[in-house]
Amino acid sequence: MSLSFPRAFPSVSSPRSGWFDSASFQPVFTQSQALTGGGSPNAAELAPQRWSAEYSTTMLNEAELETWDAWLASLGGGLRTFKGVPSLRAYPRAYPTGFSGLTYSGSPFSGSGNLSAIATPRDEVTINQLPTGFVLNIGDFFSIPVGSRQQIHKLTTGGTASGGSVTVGVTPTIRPGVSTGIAVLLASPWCDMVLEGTPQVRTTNVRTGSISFKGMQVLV
Amino acid sequence: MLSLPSEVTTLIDSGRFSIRYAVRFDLDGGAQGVWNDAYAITDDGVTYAPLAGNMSVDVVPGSGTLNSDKVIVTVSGLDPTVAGYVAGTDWHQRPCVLFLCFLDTDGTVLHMMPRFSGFLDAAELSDRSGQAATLRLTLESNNRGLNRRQGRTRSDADQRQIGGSDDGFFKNTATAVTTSETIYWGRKGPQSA
Repeated sequence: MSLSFPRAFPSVSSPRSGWFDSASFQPVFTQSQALTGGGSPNAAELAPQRWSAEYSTTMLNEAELETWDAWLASLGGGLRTFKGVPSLRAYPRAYPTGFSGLTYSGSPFSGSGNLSAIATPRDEVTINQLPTGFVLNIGDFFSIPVGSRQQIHKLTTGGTASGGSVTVGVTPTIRPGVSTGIAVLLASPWCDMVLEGTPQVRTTNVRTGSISFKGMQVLV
Repeated sequence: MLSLPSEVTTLIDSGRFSIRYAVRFDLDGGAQGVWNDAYAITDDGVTYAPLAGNMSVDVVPGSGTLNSDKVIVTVSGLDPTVAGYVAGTDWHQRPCVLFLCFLDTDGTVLHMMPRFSGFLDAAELSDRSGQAATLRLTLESNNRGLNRRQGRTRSDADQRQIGGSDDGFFKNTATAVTTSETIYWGRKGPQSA
């Protein structure tokens, strides 16, 4: 069976609640800053913002350790992509265990809405096709398809869906060329990433261990 | 003096703005471009492919001499197959222009300012099996033709050859170079009795 990329993280087996002890998902800015003679800080952005992630697993048993080791090896260093998920915020903060019980149009809510509007500054969007009263909080994530990639955005302002629609602030701004009518992924939003640096594999003498690795977003 | 659109000067005066570099290559098959953001743009009929921050530009020189200035443009994180594309394209000595693009807060390109123009002089490809490749481009300025020795000289004979037999602009050069003599311009010099 051939692998497809970007690769998702290995499946989590119950009763485990998640793979990671810690996971950070932070923006990286390529900017030049200088202080003027008048004391005003000037900043020039030289390249688009991208997301950087660091993941550290819990203690893994032998089978899990081998699964992760092989998963990392399949990425070929920085050559192949994986789905970088803000794992500690894989679901909106108001729904930490998922969307069980929520419905849209009589069907269980799948975790995917629709991008119905983009404000002119492109830092605010309206998402519809959501369950009534659906809550999005500051710091929640969603992702949208842009070209052949998935782009992830963080909410700067939240809201509660009224009539299935909510308007929220986002960062980074929605890229020029992105139009409305595309799917908004709220369950395990992800972006294309490649490994950055060498993963750290720490093993014990009883065939258990943990793994840490970093990822950097791929924009194109 | 630079002439920038008012919206660009307003952006710069604010002290916080976005800029990107773009390079246009006038290849035999048509003009092509790359720039340093994550989406493609079209300007003056040329499409600039995105490099998403993988392009870095060395300091753009601004000398006042006749030296051949050079700018190094480095593109990293390339698929190893780029080597085949570079090898199969006639790129050497093709005209190219380096632009500085000003973006507003929406990410819209407000202005593309030509920053450096010249010819693509060198393309060094660094690649290893199983790793991303890096392409280092050297753009050489148009000044390169100004300091090359040719058959021309600053002499009376050369001037009359080019400007016509009546062109005596350099008629005094031999005298001025070989002797220390005062040349009275526009009038006769001291006259002896």
